[in-house]
Amino acid sequence: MDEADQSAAWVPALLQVSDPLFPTGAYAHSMGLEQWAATCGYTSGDDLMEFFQQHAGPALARLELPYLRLVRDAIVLEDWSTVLELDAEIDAWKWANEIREASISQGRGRLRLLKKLWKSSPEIEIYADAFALGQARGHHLVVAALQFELLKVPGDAALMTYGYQSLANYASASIKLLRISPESAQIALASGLEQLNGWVAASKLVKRESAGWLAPAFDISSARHATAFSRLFIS
Amino acid sequence: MSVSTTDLPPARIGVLGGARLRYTHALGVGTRLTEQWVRPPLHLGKSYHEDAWEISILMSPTAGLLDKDLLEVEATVAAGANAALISPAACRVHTMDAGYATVRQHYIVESRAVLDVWPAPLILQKDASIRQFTRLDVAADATVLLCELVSPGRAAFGEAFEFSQWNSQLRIYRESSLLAYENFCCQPKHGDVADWRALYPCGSYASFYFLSPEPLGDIIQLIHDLETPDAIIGASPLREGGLGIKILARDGISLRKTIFLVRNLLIIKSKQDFPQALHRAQTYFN
Repeated sequence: MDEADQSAAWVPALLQVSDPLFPTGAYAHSMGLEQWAATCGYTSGDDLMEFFQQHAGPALARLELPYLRLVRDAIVLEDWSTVLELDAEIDAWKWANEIREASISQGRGRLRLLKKLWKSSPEIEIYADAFALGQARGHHLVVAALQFELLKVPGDAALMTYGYQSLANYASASIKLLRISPESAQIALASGLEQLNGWVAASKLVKRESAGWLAPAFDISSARHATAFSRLFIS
Repeated sequence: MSVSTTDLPPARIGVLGGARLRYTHALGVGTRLTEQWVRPPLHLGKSYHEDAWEISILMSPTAGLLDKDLLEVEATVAAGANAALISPAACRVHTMDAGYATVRQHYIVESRAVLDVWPAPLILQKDASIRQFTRLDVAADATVLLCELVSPGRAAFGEAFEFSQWNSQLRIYRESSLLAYENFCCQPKHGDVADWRALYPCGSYASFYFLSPEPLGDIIQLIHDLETPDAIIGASPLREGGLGIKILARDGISLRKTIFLVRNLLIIKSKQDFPQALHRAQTYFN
């Protein structure tokens, strides 16, 4: 266990940036769940659990968390060309435009606030400059990796936090979309969190060349959200 | 009883087929296939010309792909040329005890050129494994219709999602900038593609990329309007122009009908004069 693991100094700041009060605009996005729930006829907390098990969890394990880890590794090495390359790859694998734009919008919001709160961070400064010049895409995964490195959050805790935020965002959206009670949403979230440790462990075995995930029906549904007759969320 | 190594059948040696093609445009002549290198079992049928296009039929006349087989295709469409690569017969990836087959494709489409890649489906049979690598390099003012079709088994035998592994990596670069990236390893035995299987348990899949300098207008809505109970379609704009389109269909016939409709919309949107041969539906899935 290194010094960062032994000290809990990073916990308050991590709680602050992970809290729904931290204004990234995540509340306005369902990240594909709205249209997918309509396609599948989801109505209950059990449906949300199935979604975590079959889609959200594996997508975290095989795609998003490996990229979070890879970006952070590159930041630690101050390898900014790799950071920008990974940012461009993230942009290119986010196939549905609304999901891609949602990621950029949340990344931009988080970056703006991190810059205000931690003014002396050279890492944030370098990436913010690259973003301003159009060299960086500004994806949320990249900004989250910067934030975890800035706060010196231990590796596993960072992956767990990102995983928690992803599942919690779906759970929050499900209260409106599935008309389930907050208690049902919490039960579903708890079932997802029980599996999160396994998804995080699996993600650490995924190398850059094999990071990826195929979910064509979910992608189709996410794309169709853009022309849906009615909707509650931006994505 | 022990079995000596001499009793075992000899290890299979894979076949290495390939094609390197270059299409160029000449004033007053149109497009011609000016460089060609083909290695069996890949076979290039005699190309034919329609309007200012060169249309090539590329196929593997052997039974399909087996363990250790490798097919490599590289095609360049030079500035101003119009070319199509089509294949009339499905490509089977056969049952394998171990190992995998590999398909590598690289397409380069230069300024003002047009390329239409319209293959028949890849059929992933029981215990088959395949690794695909596709790269497309395209100029900003070029037009490309790149299509890939996959059937998850032999429908006539009621076979679906019994293949071992389907790995695919696709990279599309426009003016050297990464535009689209797909990378996955699909193993149905581990529960992958649950979303696809839940909607259509024996369904087929098509993925299109449409790159064009033309504005998209309302084409996404028009494509979405083509959806039926037998085929779902999603279209999404790529960064700085062009579209990605995915289709899942209940069966091969429904997929074929939907692709035909989508292609015709894209052809109109491209403002390019596609020859009549490329407006017709292919004969696969019958």
